Amino acid sequence: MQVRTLLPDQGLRDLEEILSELTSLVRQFPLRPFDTLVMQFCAELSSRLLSHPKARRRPEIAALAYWMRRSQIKRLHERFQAWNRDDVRWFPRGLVFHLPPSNVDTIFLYSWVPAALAGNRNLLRLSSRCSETVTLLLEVLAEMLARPEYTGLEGLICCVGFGHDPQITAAITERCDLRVVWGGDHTVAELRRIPLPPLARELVFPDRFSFTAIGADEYLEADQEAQERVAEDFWNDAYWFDQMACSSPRLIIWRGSAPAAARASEQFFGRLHQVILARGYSVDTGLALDKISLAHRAALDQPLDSVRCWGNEIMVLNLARLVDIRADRVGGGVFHQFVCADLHEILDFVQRRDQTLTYFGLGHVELEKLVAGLNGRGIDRLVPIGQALQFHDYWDGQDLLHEMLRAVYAPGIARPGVCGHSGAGPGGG
Amino acid sequence: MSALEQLMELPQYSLEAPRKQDLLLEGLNELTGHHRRACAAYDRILKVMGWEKSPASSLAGVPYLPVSLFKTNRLLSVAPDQVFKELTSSGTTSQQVSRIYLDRETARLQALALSRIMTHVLGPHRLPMIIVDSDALFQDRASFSARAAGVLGMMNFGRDHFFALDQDMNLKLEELRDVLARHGQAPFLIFGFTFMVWRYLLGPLTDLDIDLSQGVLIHSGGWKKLAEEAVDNQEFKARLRQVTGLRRVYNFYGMVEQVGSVFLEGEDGYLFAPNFAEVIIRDPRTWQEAPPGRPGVIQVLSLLPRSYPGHSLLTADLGVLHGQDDAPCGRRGRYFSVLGRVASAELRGCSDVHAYGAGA
Repeated sequence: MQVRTLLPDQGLRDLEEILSELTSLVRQFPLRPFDTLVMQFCAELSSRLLSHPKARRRPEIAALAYWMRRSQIKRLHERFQAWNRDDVRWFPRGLVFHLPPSNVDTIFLYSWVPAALAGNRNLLRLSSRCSETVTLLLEVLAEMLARPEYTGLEGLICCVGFGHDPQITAAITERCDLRVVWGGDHTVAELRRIPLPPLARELVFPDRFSFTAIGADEYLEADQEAQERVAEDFWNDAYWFDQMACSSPRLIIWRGSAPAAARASEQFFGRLHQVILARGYSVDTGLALDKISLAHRAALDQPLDSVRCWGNEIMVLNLARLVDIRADRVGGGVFHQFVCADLHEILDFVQRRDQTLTYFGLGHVELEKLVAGLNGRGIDRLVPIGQALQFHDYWDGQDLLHEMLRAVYAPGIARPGVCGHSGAGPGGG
Repeated sequence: MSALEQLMELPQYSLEAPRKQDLLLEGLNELTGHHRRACAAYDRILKVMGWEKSPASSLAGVPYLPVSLFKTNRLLSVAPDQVFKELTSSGTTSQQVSRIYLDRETARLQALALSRIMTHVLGPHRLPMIIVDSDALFQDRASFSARAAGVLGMMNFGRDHFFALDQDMNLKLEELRDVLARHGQAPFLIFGFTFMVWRYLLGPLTDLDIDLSQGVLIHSGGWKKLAEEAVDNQEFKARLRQVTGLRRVYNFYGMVEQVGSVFLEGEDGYLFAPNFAEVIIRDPRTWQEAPPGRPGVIQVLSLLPRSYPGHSLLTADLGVLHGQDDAPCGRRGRYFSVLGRVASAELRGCSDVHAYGAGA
């Protein structure tokens, strides 16, 4: 069967040919993890994007490029080097099949970078309708791959465009060593109907929920500048992607007394509204109506005390009790709000699908108690307000770089550079 | 006589807007109070959303609900055993439908309201009627669609009903000629959904010599499909006249969620509220009333919904107010146009906004 290729070349190719090429590259032209050329390629990609006149003006490309800058690649390399011991070596998995979501354009590179650095060859399925952002990224990539200094990187990134075709997906799955799926519960369920070969693994990123916790007194005691910073930072966390990203905070927990929380909340949203007005962000009529509809449903289905709005852009639903409000979501600035005296009151509420907790004004002991109390059964990352959307190699409870590698245990191999003895057992030989 | 009875009896479109609104306000405030007492869900919503407890001092102050609420929640102001009829909106299988519960009285008022409105343009007698649809519409009793309900409601205004389409939507041309031979020289009624009239009646009649000049066409259903073919209200009427001689054409705007609210077109092409209903256009940025000329979201008010809290609803349609009491066709009251559905929100995000399997 034929597929449309998007990178390195654009055209129509036989899928079987592409897959044979990739698998033979894996076998015959192995890339070592953190191959110098690959690191060079990624670092250069980063600086090209940061200086590209069109690309750098798109904040999501700028964020991506910044995340994969040279110093970060170096950091990942250092992490990797720490894993390689005398008796355990790490190698790429082989061929990684990426299925990024069709509507957050830059995600395809967030799983590709660790996969490529780990030495894997990669086949990415992109939507056949490429957004402007994706087209731009592919242009830059294609130009770089065509250069003579990057020969030897065939198959490092190979993109095809096809609709949701189970046949094509199955054919690629059959030959892959790792399948990376972004896209929500429904997508994951659909793809899991196409079984992996026995030795392949899967990394999935289904629906997640994220929220914020703020110390009420600490917030009130913060000076104006600090409060303004919190507002800016929260704006960044919440309103990118119209509050629809998995890390977008949808609930605000005030830790403190009811009166303090009420005052803090008033100030917080007042300042947030100022930021929104200054940025010229507005929700369109359809979204405004969706929010009104959601508020009415919530008034009937949830234990709400009141609904409070700041224009169409901020809608706050005040909860009398902290119940599961995750399912009903429309984006564009809808926040549930709850007050508790101590964070242990939210332990019951937290679920496996909770991903990011952003915070301000919480003590590290308090956070430690929370993490210990949860014992890993929910919340994969706790970061200060402002960092919700910052991608990190620890994502969704997984170490992405680690997942792209496989371990080979061979205690008999000498360390490189040490000549002579093999079989260095306890006490030497 | 209650405000509602008064408004029903007076000739439709005869009241100046300020006077009408005074009468309506009294009735609407009474309904708000009634629904607060009779429907716990409604009372809860008004509380949570922060609506004032005291009666509204103007129409714009009457609390309103979004029409979408009837798709997701059951709202009843009578005991379940009093429910006489359940109305549902049309909807594809992937969408939820609105559910509206009528008791006998509200159902009676609905029929009466429709009669007051339609007889304004049809006169008091039942006219011979051509329905631009197929009688296969009624065969599936299990899923009695909104389209079937609409046709059935209009059939009360006609006699010797003729379904002009067969079950494959083909025009029954020879039978139509017979019907016109018998009834075509005096006024007769034609009813159908806008798109169907265009596609399945006018289409086939092009280049034929069928005379519908004595007909009165009443149609509804929205212009979305016709907009795809670049056909607007003016073009629609012009072609009908050109091909068939049909001159009396009346569009109406209505919704299942508010019974009795049928906004019938005047001869000038504008839409008018009947005596017992009113329209407000709201600016979607502030949700305040928009002045004439400024497009906004349509809110509809009606004195009819008593068995369910549907007397004041915010729709998902855009419209614009043109003026009041000075319409070219001579009807009194506010007059407006519908501009179309509010576009649904375009969102981004990394989860199932565009779910796998739902398209590339």
